[in-house]
Amino acid sequence: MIRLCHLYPELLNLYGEYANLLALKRALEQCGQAVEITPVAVGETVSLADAALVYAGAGTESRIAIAAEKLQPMRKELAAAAADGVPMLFTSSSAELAARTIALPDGKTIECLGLADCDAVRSTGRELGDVLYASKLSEKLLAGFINKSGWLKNVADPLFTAEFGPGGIVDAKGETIAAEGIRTGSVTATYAIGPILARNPWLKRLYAADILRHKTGSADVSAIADDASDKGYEVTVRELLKRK
Amino acid sequence: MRKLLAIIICKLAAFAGRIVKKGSSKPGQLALKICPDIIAKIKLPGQVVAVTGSNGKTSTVEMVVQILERAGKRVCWNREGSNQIEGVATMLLRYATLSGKLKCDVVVLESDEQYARHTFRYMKPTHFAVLNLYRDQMTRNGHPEFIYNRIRDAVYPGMKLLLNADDPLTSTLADCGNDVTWFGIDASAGIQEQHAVYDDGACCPRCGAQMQHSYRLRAGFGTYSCPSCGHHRHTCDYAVTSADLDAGTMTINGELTLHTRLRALYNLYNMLAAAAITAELGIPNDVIAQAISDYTFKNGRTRSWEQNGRRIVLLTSKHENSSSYDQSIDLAIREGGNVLVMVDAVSRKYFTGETSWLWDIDFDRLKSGRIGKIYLAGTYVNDLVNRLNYTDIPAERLVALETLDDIAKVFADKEDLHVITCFSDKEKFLSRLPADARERSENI
Repeated sequence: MIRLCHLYPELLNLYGEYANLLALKRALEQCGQAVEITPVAVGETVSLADAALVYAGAGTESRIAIAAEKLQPMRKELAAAAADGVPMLFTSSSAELAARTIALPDGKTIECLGLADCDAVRSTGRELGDVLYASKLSEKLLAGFINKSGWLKNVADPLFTAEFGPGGIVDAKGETIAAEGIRTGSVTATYAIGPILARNPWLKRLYAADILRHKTGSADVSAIADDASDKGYEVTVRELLKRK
Repeated sequence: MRKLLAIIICKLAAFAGRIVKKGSSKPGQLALKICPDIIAKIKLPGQVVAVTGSNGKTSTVEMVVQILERAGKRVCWNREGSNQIEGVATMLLRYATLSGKLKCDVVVLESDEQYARHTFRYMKPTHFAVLNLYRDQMTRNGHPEFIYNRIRDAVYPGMKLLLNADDPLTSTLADCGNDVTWFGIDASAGIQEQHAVYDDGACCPRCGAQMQHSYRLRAGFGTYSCPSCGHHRHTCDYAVTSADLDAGTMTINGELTLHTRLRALYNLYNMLAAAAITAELGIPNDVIAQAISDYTFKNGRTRSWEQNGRRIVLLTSKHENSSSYDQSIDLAIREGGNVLVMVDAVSRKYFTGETSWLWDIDFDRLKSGRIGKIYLAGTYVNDLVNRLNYTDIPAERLVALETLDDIAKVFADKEDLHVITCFSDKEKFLSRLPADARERSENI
């Protein structure tokens, strides 16, 4: 059984992010796997010993703070799973949850999970916009949207380059750069929403391969069928490139 | 001097706009350039009502105005719907004398959630109604909590707040310490829970703990309490105590009965809010009841036609607003037939390809036996297909139209048709209506 752990789905429930796991589940089932999505309730402590993926999605800023506090008892378990190579994906504002700390506009600091090798900084404003990101993960672009009040900082090696739309990283001087996201080992943190796995079939296949490789030793995802998301992705990229 | 000049220029520009039939907030823009604090210089009447929220502002304001005018009040309101500061300036200066006094008894203002805090720096309402905070245009508004913070910045001491008690997030505006009048739908009204894909009331907006619900309406609205911090639904000053959506009646506080042709849950809330606001302004119940019962939608969101023996209904929802879509789906299921969902331009005001809001809509209900074919169309047809492929709707009932011109195929079917799309896309449907379609006059 492939177990996809979803951290705090009732608390971090914005932007249809649950569909990331639905898309991944279907893809893995097409590869012949039995898959279960296991929600982790707020404050619950679970073993990640047999987790195939750990995922957290979008929440409001106050809910990210609550999640950061309530997840502290699972910090060691999460770190151990990451060290073991369990794929982990933190999207939207949960990218900040994966960071070491979040610096707030009022000067306070939130202690987060320290799974990604970066920190985060918040503002009182909001940054919104369609994005197309390039990366070494694939020749294909990531199509998504940014809807956030924060930035990652102290990112030595950003995951994405912003070809279109805002990035999500500030440099040492606090100035935004055209880059976004971070990958530390098996942990990926990105502000992009879409939901990105439902809308970027190449990324869905990549994650399915990562999970299968970690669980079974084989990364064969050839059984994943093309579907409407493939055509939808092409249309989205086309429409955004028109406006580049 | 600047005040006088601003008033004159605004009136002239508004007059010119009426001649060329172009309503806009341009007159107000010009006035603000001449005199940036012109709004603060206008002498307001004793009652100034502002209405904000994610859904229902326009309808609620229209009803409030209808009630007040029925009661013989002269009302100054932003009838064109322009609710940012330039629109407010246009509205006020149109009704102002050259000395800057408003020629009216009451000001009623539809207030944009994000801009109320700017407008209210210059004109503080005596009454501020917050209808609800839903997920709406997240590509502009971020999320409901972000908008809540913006609205909170608009609350000043001395304002009377009218708050939706059923909304756990809106109700925390009571923390501002103002006098609050509560409105909501009691469990005794017997309205059934309406399922939604998400539940923004599952976690307490104050402390994040799991909320308890004794009565649920939709997406977290209802009767709730937090076992951790004590946040709970307040007893309402104006409560729907009984309602029959099919018969079109609702009773407030067991005594004020409204008869209406408007049947959806959101209409109930809008009528309740309008009744509460005007009752607080001293309008008698009989005037409120009559005015609301006579109210018809002026905003053209629903239209219907007779064509070749069947009925076509256009439901103009807001894209990026799952609540709006869910209500349209409700109506389509109640009335039965085929459905066409069109997403061609996501937003009517700016370009975006963001479609995550599709996953907030409860499309699964379209598996109902009362629905036949589900046609999907527009630039983002594939996103629609992808979304519906994650429901229990049998694949053979989904028909993806490659181009908008393929909408002609929809009319080959003889079934009644409900069309769900948004303001920016509705003309694309209207221009493809068969020539023999005859528009009907009905309130839906």
